[in-house]
Amino acid sequence: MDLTTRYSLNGSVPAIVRQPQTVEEVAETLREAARSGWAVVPWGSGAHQGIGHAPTRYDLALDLIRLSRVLRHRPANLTIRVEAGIRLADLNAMLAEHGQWLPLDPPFGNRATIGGILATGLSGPLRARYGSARDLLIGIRVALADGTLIQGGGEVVKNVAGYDLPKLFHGALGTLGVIVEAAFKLWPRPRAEATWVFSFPRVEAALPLTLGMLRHPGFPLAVEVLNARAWEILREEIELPADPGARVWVLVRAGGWPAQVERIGRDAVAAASGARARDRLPEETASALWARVPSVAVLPTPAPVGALGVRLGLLPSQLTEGAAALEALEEIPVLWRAHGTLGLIYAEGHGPLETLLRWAQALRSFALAHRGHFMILGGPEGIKQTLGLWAPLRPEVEVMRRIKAQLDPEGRLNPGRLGWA
Amino acid sequence: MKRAQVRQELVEIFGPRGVLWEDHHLLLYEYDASIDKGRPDFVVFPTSTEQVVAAVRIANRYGLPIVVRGAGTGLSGGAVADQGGLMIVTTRMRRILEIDPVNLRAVVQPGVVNIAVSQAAAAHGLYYAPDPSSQKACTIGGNIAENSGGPHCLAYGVTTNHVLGLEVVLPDGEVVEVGGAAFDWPGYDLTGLIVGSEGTLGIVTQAILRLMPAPEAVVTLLAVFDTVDQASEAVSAIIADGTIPGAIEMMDHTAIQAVESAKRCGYPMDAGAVLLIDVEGLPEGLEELAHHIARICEHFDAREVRIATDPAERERLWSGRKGAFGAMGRLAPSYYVQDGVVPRDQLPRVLRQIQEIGQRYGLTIANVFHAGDGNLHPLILFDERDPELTRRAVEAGAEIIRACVEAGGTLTGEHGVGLEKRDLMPLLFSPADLEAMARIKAAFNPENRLNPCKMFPSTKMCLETWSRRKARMTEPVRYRTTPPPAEMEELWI
Repeated sequence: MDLTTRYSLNGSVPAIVRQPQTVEEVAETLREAARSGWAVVPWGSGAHQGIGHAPTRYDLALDLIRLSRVLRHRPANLTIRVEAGIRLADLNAMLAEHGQWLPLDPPFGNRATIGGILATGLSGPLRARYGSARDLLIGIRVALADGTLIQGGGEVVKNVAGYDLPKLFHGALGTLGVIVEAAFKLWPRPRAEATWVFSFPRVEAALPLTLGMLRHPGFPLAVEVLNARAWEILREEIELPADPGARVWVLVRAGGWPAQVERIGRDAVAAASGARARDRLPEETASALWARVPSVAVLPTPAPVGALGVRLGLLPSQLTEGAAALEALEEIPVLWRAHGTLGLIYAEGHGPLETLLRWAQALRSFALAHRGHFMILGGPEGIKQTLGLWAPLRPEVEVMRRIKAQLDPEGRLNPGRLGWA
Repeated sequence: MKRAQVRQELVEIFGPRGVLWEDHHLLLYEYDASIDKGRPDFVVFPTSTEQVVAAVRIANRYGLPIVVRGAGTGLSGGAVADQGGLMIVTTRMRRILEIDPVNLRAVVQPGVVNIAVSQAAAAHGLYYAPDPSSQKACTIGGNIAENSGGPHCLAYGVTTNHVLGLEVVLPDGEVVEVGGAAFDWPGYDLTGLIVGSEGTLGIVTQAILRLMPAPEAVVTLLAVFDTVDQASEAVSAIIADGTIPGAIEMMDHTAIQAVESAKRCGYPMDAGAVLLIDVEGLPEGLEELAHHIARICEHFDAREVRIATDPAERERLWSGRKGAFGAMGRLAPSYYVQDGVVPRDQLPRVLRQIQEIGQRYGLTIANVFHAGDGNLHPLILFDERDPELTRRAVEAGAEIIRACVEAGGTLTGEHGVGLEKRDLMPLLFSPADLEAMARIKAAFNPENRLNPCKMFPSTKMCLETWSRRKARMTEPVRYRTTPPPAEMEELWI
């Protein structure tokens, strides 16, 4: 196995790679790491390893890809318990036979493992209807830095016994423990589905549609907004409508009983009165589109040279301002995509390092001024170091530090990943 | 402790009307809606975050434990000051600070009553989804502490799925913001950790909540079955079918007897079980969906399915469910309610086990519960004046919880661990799990100042209390002896 290519992170290569086959082997490996003082980087598919700072120390790559079993699927309870190394795509292929799914569609979801999706906390368009992994995760099993196995939650859809450990490990970027198993509540696949697409001359012209869908009691599955540049990327691969005069595109995906789907579509068309073009996509096009959309405007790992990926967390009504801030620097071509009803915007900019830094600085200030948040998702370590991974960094970070010190006192899990831990 | 000195310092902050210290006043704050009690040394009623901070600093100076209380409707002893100390009551922090009808957010103080949020949002066609049955009394702060559920959490999730950010006073008096109005605040999810932490990690002084669009139409089904088995098979089948209604509630024969003799809701007296099912959302396709569910019920031998679209008729059907706990007074002087959860495909088996446990202990058990979530509420009927019956009720309760855990379930779905179930935690969690939770607690609450001795199995420090509690169990002092007055009935659910 060529360690340098497969597990290298920002140019550093682990001395040791392990691919345990059981949870017990993960625990044993971590005990060994504790004895030897190794710094550990947990791995899934590696699809999102670029998120966070590059680890400051890196001795052991702990690859969970062989932990890919389904432990218990209770179709009549709509729950499932799996090992963390299973790929989301494989899991959903299995669930499709039961008419069920785990409705998550994070970036690079065709490769991403459940453990990686949980550790990064990234979500996709379907979040508009189903929430994120945070909302679907009902139980978790974690190996702590010293190899102790702990669990929180369970396999029932309602549970308030003990602290909500699943929430703590979700999005912690593998700095508190190695997720080895997870239990989810599942959803039935919608009986019918349809996707509408709208183009708008300006972002603000799209807001009646996105905000209308936010308060729609039919709960559309997804309301995704893309800038024209991001749309063109999709058009290179999928046969989609074109509109040279469009600045922004909105996709509305509706699901449910056929009558509900039609109603949501009617309301979307009515709310999109400022649209230049409107279209209902053929089923096959829609399905190809939804497989591709979640990865648009998110950088792959390793990130291409001369690119920076960021995320803005705003209110849904602040989309216009967010888009303007993202596209403020003419010398930086920007792709962006937003969960229109949620206020989260993903963007990638391309340009020379110093221009990217200026772009990121401006976005950071913008987010702070609008009481939102800013996070670098991928790109040069130098920019992450200069700006910090995210803003605002509030006093609560002191509590985070204390949690980290309690669960990983030697700081051996993904050291330096968060900048402050 | 220099009692007079503490009192004086508190009065300086809260004024003479903002502090209680006399026994006959403290008596009113020594219990919640559970079976435990404990008297605080002082009770204060802050009106602002600054006052909460001041109270916390005084408690720190004098080494007093702090217990936070909202409306006192909790069912697990979470707001009981069993170690004495300073009780902070949030009911005067009851302002709704903001309703944002565009982004569907509300910013509220912790003492705001749950239903008041929905009432304030109603003008915009919005509401706050988590609906604990005590929603006319319980506070948002208490809901956050317990991660409360309710009948309609089946479709929309529990409290934690609707809280985006918090302002929190830490046990050392520091004020921090966690989360915010935007989603996915970077860093560890402290909001998610604090929701459901039963007042052991921090004091919530402000919360940012998500609002939801109100459904345009609601249809209520009443499905009548001869046996609990058939009804629970139907619940399982509805879930497995992939139809997720807004709510699926079940009442068994004993519960129906109580409810129908208290008020006529139209449940057949000879039914073995009824299901109350809400389907809601868009009017399009709704009746189709209702008939689809009705057919599933009929497939499991429902002898009658009534479909109500008229608001008055729906209200009548639901009134029985909402008043069910209160109606138990018709059958027995006291009841003890459990809150275990089981996987939904295990409902038929566990409900049979519960009946068997009741027979073995010679106790009648009524079931009124959130069937769609698998969240049981067995009501063990007894007479608290009889110590032997009381002992049996408590033991039967513990055995029911054990049965739930063995079926792959949990101790508590929405009422919390508190004092009541803390010693059952090892049924579910290993020493390593509990140790990890204790470490998390230490990161927030290193001196165990906030709500000590809750949620965790009795430690040495708390053992004394535990033995006091055990002594009380054999000679209980306050189980409810009479049904609550009619206007209170809906609160006791």
